[in-house]
Amino acid sequence: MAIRPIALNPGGVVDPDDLIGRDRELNRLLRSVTTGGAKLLGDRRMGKTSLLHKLAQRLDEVGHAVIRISAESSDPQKFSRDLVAELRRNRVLRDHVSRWEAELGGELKVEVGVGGVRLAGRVARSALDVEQDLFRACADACQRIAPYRLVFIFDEITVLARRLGELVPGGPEEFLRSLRVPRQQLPGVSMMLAGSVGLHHVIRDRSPVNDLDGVDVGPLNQPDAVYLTRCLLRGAQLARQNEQAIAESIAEQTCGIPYYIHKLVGELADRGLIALDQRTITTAVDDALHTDRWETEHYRDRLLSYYGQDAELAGMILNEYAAAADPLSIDEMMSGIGAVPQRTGLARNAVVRLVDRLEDDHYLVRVGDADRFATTLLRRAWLAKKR
Amino acid sequence: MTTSARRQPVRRIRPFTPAYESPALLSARTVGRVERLGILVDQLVAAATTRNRAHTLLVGPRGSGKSHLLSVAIHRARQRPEVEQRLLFVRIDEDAVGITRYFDILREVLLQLSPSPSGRRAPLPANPEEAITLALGDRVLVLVIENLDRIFHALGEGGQQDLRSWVENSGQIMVLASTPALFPGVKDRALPWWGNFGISQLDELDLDQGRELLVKLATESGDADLADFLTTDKGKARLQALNAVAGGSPRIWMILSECLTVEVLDELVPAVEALLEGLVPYYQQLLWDLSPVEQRLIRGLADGPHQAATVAELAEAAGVGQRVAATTLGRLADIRWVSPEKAPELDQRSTWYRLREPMLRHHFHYRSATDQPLPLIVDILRAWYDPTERRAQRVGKAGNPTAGCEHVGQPPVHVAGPGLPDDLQSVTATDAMIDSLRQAPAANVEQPDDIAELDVVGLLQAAVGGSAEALVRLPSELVPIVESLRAERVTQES
Repeated sequence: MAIRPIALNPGGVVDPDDLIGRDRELNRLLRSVTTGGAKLLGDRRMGKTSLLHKLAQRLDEVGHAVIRISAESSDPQKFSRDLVAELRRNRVLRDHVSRWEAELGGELKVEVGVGGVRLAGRVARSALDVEQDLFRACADACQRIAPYRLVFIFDEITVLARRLGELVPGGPEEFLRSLRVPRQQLPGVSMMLAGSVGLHHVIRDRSPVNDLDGVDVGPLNQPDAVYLTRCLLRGAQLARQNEQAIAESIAEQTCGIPYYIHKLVGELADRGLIALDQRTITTAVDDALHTDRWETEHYRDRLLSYYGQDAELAGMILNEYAAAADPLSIDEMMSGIGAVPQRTGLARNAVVRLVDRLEDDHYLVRVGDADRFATTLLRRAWLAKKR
Repeated sequence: MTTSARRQPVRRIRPFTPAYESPALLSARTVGRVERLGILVDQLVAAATTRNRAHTLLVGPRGSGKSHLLSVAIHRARQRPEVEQRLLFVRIDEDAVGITRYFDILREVLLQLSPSPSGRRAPLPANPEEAITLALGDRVLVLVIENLDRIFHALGEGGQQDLRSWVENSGQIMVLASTPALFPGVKDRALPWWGNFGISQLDELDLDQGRELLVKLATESGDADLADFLTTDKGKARLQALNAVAGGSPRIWMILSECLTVEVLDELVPAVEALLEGLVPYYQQLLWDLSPVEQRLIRGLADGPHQAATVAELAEAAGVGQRVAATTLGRLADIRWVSPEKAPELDQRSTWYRLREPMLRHHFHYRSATDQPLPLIVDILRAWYDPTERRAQRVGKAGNPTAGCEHVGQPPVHVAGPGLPDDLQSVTATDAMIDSLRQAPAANVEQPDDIAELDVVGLLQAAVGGSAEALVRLPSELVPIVESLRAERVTQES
């Protein structure tokens, strides 16, 4: 593929046409449309939202009706306004909006609650507000595009679920369960869910979403990471003499995480470093980790809020994995941190559950029967601040 | 040395409100920051021609040129027809008040996109996001927000979430922002906007860039003599001394440009005093915005005998407990009023604090009309950065290569030589002191009590002699001199 200049964009919205790689994840998401949908799993800034943008574009191009919306709002009414705006924008559904307004009486609104998402008219014609299930109304409207489907893409859904939980006990589970009903009962409806905060932090019982395929969004593979880096270097007019070598170094040291690739190239460009070498790259990354310019200390700081009384043990476990060059099994890790079970009375199963949580929170990844740090970058950051 | 007419100060530049200057003029005055400007322009062009929205945050202390850079980037990008046609710019200025909620931002955007006869009294539409979308059409909104830290603090996490979801759902918004320092809203991974900005730290202008700026401003005002003088060796030496006192903030250079003439720059102290005068209202307003305890600590640091002080010393000066002082100083460090440091050779349990802005300390002395070390500091710097002129003239006139050097190692004396011009009849005490530092053995004043009671010259001598505490307490303007003299000694000894 020819190298083309791409403008630096660390953290902003990426044009779907500029999305590099992600073919495996995209194909899996596309396949999941026919089975009800998927949930995207991955750490913050790994590229889930950019992937959802690309997915929406692809689905729309093919002929599906796509409603893509960020649910990141403190106010359910804002989510409602945003959802209505999306309905009005959608090429399949916008023609039905006036009809719904006429049927429901008044300007369309969306009521979001633990019981589900309902369409309603803003002005009631009678004493009783007329409501209609949003998903059923949209599914009915999309029958004419069959076999193409109606696909809802809810980004940051955990924020909305958590907010509802503040209003109603058990709210998150009930809300997510209400989203499961339409994708299981209504023909032609699929959903994609994603969130910066893991679902496991919002709901204890994962059954409301266990019908959804879990698609892990992690670092780019090496060829894609190098290609992205070269495109960014070309756009920033850096490393003209040794672009391939420098791109490989940057891709390796950022572990192929697009956010950090953009960030590092941006920092190098900002410093006017037109000629680059391996040492400059290494120094820049070391400096970012040691000075916490990339805010990686957060992974340590949040242990207490994430794991409570298990925080200290979680830290010891992570220290052990960080010190290991190769993946460790549970037993190898436990022998490394000493006689912890005997000292604390902690059963092996409890340690296994804690390691599972560390995987869910993207500290560790499973490799066969063993685990290792999710990325070398995170491991390096962990070791940089280890006392 | 030519003489340029002393000009009456006429406000022709706006060092504090560049947003109100002509962007074309700002662009012409821009020095340095070439890479950052290029990146910003590229990102704006990308926003106009693609669906990329590279939200960007410029970080830099007061006066570092953030507003200027934003204005110039926008101006240069708008020279591209695709940008002018597709991007709409809405700016929330650094002195905007009343922007404390998500809806206030929407109102501000609507007011600028679709001005209403009722102005701010017009009610917000029931669906303001949709109203903005209609006003935009197929264009892209570039939302320029200065002092983003203040806005985000007022919004709280909920408002920040709402702002982010609006930006994300719209797809037609790019945020360009600035802030004096990084703040939790963009540093905390748990908050909505973390990782959403490309962050660029603005450094101060270096000496060459500062000089380039002054040359541009002198040329702009028609002062060719000053523009020429700035390119001479003497002019550069004077600027070096000024830079050491005032720092390299673009704002400082611009304020200076209003009062500079060849004579003022050559004499140096009048230039610094004019700069202080120009900064008075600015510093006054900043200081009044601090809490009473913060003000007392800042005052304690400014009025203290030395540039840096420990928490204990400042607590006593401010009349507060040490714990309160430590907490408050930490907060002042976060908002870039003070900088903490640990002196390598001193007790690591002690943190020393000094004022971040070099001129702030002089501001206090200037305003209180107390005895100021400023003239002495300026004299030292002038002698340091331009020792050759006086010595060359003495040697040239007297024909005696050692003329004026009899004082070396001795207390400064007036030395008269045949044929010397009247103004060089006496070797200044400052020149003599600099020379004696080069020659004399190290002073032995390591005891803390002695150090605390030394004046500027004493501190300089002790620091050159190796005293770590003297180096910490020394005016930061003179630290490069110490480092250079120490290096010279090491070279001589080896």
